[in-house]
Amino acid sequence: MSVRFTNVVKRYGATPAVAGISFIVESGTLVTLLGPSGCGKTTTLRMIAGLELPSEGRIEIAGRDVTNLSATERDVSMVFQSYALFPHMSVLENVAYGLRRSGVAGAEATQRALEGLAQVGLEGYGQRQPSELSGGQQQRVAVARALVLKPSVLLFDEPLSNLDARLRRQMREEIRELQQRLSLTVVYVTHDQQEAMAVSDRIIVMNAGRIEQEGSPRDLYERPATPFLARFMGESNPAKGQVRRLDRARVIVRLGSTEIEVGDSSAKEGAATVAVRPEAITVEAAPGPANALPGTIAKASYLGTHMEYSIDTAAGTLFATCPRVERPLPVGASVALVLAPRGVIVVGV
Amino acid sequence: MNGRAALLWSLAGLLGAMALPWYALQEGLGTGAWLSGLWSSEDYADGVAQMAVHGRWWLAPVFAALLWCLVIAVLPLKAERRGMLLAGGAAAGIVLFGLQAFAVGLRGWTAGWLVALFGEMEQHQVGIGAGATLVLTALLSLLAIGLALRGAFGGDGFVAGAMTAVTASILLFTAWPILHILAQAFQNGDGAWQPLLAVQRLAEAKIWSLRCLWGGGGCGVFWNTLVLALCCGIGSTALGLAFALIATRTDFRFKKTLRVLTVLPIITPPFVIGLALILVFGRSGLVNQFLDWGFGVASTRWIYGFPGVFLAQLFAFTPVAFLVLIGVVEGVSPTLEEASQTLRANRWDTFVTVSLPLMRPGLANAFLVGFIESIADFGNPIVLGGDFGVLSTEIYFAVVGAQLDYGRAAALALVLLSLALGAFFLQRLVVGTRSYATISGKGDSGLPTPLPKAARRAAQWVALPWAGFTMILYGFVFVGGFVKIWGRDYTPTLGHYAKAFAIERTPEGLIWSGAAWNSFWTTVELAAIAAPITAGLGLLAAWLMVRQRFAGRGALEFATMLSFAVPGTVIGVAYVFAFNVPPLEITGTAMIIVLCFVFRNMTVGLRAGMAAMSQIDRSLDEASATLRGRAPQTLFYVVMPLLRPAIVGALVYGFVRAVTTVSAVVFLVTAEYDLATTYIILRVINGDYGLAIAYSCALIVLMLAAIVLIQLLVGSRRLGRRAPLIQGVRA
Amino acid sequence: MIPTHRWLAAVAATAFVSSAVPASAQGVVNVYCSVQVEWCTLAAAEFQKVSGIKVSMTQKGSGETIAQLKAEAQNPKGDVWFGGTGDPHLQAAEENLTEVYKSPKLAELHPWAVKQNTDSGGKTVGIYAGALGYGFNTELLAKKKAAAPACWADLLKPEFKGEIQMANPNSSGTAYVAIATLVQLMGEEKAFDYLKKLHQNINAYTRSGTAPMKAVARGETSVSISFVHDGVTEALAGFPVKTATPCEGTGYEIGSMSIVKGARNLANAKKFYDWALTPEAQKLEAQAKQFQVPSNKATPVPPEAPKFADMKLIDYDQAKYGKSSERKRLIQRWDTEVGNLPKP
Repeated sequence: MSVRFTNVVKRYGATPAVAGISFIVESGTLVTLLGPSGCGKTTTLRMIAGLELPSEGRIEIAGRDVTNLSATERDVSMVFQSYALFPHMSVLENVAYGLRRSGVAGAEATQRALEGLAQVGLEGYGQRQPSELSGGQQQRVAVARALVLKPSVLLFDEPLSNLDARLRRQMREEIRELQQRLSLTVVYVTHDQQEAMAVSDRIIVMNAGRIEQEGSPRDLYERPATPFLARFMGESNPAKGQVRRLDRARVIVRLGSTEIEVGDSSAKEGAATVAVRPEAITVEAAPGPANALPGTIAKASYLGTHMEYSIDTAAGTLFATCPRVERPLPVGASVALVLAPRGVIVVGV
Repeated sequence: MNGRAALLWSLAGLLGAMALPWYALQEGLGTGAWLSGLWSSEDYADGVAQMAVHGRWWLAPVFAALLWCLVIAVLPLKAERRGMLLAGGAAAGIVLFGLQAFAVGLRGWTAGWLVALFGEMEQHQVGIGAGATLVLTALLSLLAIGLALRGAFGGDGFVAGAMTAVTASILLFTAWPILHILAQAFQNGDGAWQPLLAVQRLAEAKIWSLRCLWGGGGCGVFWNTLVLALCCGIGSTALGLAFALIATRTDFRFKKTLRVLTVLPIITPPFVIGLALILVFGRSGLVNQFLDWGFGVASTRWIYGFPGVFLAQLFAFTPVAFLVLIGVVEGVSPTLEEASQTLRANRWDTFVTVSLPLMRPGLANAFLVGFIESIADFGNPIVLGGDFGVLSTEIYFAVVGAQLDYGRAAALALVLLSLALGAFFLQRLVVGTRSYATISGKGDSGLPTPLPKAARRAAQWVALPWAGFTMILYGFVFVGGFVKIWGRDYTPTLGHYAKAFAIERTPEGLIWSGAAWNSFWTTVELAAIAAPITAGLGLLAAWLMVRQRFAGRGALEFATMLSFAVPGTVIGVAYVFAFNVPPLEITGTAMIIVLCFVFRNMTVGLRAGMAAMSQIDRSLDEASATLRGRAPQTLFYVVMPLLRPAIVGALVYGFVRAVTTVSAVVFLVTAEYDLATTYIILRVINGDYGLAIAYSCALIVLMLAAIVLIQLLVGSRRLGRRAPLIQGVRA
Repeated sequence: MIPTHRWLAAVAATAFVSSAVPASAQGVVNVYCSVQVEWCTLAAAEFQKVSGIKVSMTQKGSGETIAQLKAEAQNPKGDVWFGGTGDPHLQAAEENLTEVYKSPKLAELHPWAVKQNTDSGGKTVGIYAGALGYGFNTELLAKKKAAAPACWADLLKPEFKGEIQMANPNSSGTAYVAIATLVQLMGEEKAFDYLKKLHQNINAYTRSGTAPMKAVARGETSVSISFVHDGVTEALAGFPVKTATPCEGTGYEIGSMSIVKGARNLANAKKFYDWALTPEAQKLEAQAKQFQVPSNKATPVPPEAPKFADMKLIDYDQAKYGKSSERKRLIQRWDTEVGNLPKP
């Protein structure tokens, strides 16, 4: 176990930014703090780093109580959203900075900094100024600078937000690959659910200073505990439905005129909020099969790889994606919707 | 391990209590005479001996607090608990130290009620010495360590220590003396409290009278000061803007000359401009004589009074406005101006509706500086004022004139201070919290729009004659040092320089026989000591204020503003009042002069530092911290290299102000530590203008050399960026 | 965290080092000197030579010195206050800032110098005297074709309209001496009538007492009401200045000397005090190109100096007009009746 939070609270003045959270980060794993802006995820990360000290509670890193220790005295390093490369130092000096400050002698520090640069694929860039590098390269320098210290926890604060979409995918793969190759313990902050799912072993979703739910990416996507989570973890259509229990593991969810059998062990009987994933809706021309949900196309957009439809139904307006682009359905067409059980989630009453 | 620093400081404190003389020694520590009398001699005894042998029982609680800290440091405790006990003990020690120091003075108990309570005291105590200073330092450090262990200031010992040191020194050397003297407004001559007296003093007709409006004599000094400051603020801002526009938005060829011209008045010793103006515009001055000779126009004395003071202040403060504004003018984003032009606005519309409003924070800031400098100015009103009195001269004469009324001086100082603060808050109001940031790190690709023709002409018509005029005036000053009698007998001579700066070669070696050498070297030495401390403390305070969240931050910022806005005379007298008696008895030393320089001029370094610091991304500091850089290392390796321009500015300002300050140090100089400016003033009072001018010119050269030297030593910032990293100019 | 502490230690270290004051075998004497700087330096050097006592001399105006004495009252740093016009010395005596001392040299002094001593209860003594009068710029007067003023009455003539400067009594002791002189000469009511008329001819009431004479020297005003010895200094410096003393009679200042109450080097202070009253000490004044009348009868008077014998001096009542209460009253009256009048 590498990081342990116990009932940690952080207040600014009277308003709590983090309202009492507890969690554990196992060593060798990559855990993501995910949530909308202002949810307290960055504050939490900064409390791990020691850049903020908690108002209450206890923080341990690698078994040591670090609650009131400053950032310098903790065995963590951080990659900042803005990279925070020192503009007056060369790339090599940037990477060697932490080593020099930890008391590593000049020659050895340079040697290790060069190795660090090699690890992120930047051999030969040592003498450049940070401003002469591209965004992705600057990002790698920031990672190398944090890596060379071999910290017990490595922290990433929205590291990809300044990169364009293509580079973002590449960098997140590199980060994940590096983490697994060196079996690093990483805490990663992002507001991008896809990014979180792509890199994480575990995800902790935060909202309004509290932990909403934590688990593996699959758990969170397939079994979100609250409407907030269902909405936040990927797209979903909120719909009103009726639940009837079949047995301990299964329920029948009734949406408009259709009924779907869903694996669920906790939902209560009666009216419920149901989240329907857009990709779980198959759009057929009316009348379609029995037990389909009839509807009318309200909007249709062509996106190259797939179609997006908004469909008015008895269960509300549903948003659906459809991979069949060769015969798009026109607005106003009558359709029948078939809902796949894995994309129908009971999220509460 | 969390107790090691605490242990060391406790031991250092005990060392101070047991191995060094507790009180200040007349002859200093250097002689070593105290070593033998450390226990037995009442003068030389250390703190513990003073308590045990010489009957000064009131020191005991202070030592008890130290011992407590020592015990806490050794006991195996958890960090948080140790911190709490340590901070509590040290804070108690500091309070006890202060209580005894202020309660027992040169003649026993310092207050009547103490005598009533404890009975007459036989003992007395003089100013604190090496031992007491070390004990106090140790207690302050222990307090800082304790707070850091409890998790205050991000748990960082350095930050806690710096915070404690800065706060303690600002309280001690700014807030205390000033409040001490302002309190006199509420006291009668014997020091008894009479709040009604303040009302009476503040209600004086001499301050508020408006008779001049309906032709019945002079107006009150408040109105004089206010009108002068408003005119000076507006005038210097307008001129500064004209210069800034010419320097940045036209292809004017002599921009470098312009820069030099703008620096000159800043490094000119006081009185010089005033004197030069008299010689040019006075009744027997060049202009009047020419008019009289050429056109038979009768000479007038218009220069004395408001017009002269206003002109002299414009001269002195326009450069400051220029320096404030040039950054702002450069900072207006060309893209925005180009956007305006694509929206069918012509150049003039663009200038008026886009460029000027974007400069608003800069204009407000320049106005504020001009306003405050004007109300604190003493030299120009005294030379050119004639009948025209302003608050600063009125305060000076309330202290040193025939009235000798400190209460009145304090009351007037209160009026002046409220004027300054009023302007300060008004400026905040005008600028507001809106963002005027127009340059980001992204780099801006547009081209600065040239000025519209009308604006360019106006700027040139105002600024160029002014610049020419400045050159004439300075040429005239320069000549003044080389002629027999300035303004009368223009026979060339080197006599003034010889008198001031003669060096004789004798068999025993060189003798610095010139009359000015003594004060010259003292000035150089004290200014050279003061400048780095001023800059260091100012920038450290700026770093703490920008980067740390703490309660009382606003109050601390306000305290630093105090000494900036209060006129020098008040500061000088305040220092004598506060530091002539125990516990801190330092009048007559070089230290009090240096302290006065430091705490009076620190504000500017602080402001510049805060502005520069807020342009540096906070995450750079944080990155250094997470990379094992301790706070002092972060400061040294990351913050300081990025702050070079601000460091140069603060050092130059600290040095220049130390060399040119007069009114604040008049009361602090002694035979041993005489300063150049006080020497010059005496020459001026004697009418010995030649020597005064020669000396002033030498000082100008000295300051120019110092500026160049500082530039070379500190170096410039190496960013390797194409576009400047300014994230908007905050007022 | 070491560096902060090192920094604090450095500040503390400066604290002890700078409080060091070098000692000399015969001890020291700290003198606040309110006469001209050349005179101060000469006196310091000469006394040091004859006595072996190190003189620490700080030159400050008399107003600044008394302000300093008052601020330092609880813990005086000076020993002797040498020179400066008499009123602040009397004021210091009244406020108990100075020490009683009867010098053995009193017998050698002019009566006015001794009177200063008795008036103050022995707390101060006269070391020189200077008469009040006019300074005028000969070139300007010639250009205006105006006759030099010789009497108080001359100053009211229309040709001097806007040509006269005097100091403001609120800030200047010189101006107060002028008002007190007029009051003693004419009686209070008439004196104020005179001042009101004079107001029509005044172009400025300067803040400093010596400023009007300087303005005369530089041709900024034609006539000043000043101490006449200041005019001699300007004339020697090469300016077209002449002086006169009023035919009706005039007052004078008595430049004084006092020992600071609670002086740390009292014995040396007394030695300096006695020495300063000797002819040997007083002739330094002329060497420094100052032309007040010295107080020791035996001191040679330089030929340039205005001689008291040539003037008509009033019997200036230092005891009455040197009192704070009287001064306050007269200044207040001047303020309301004269100072506030509109300018012509």
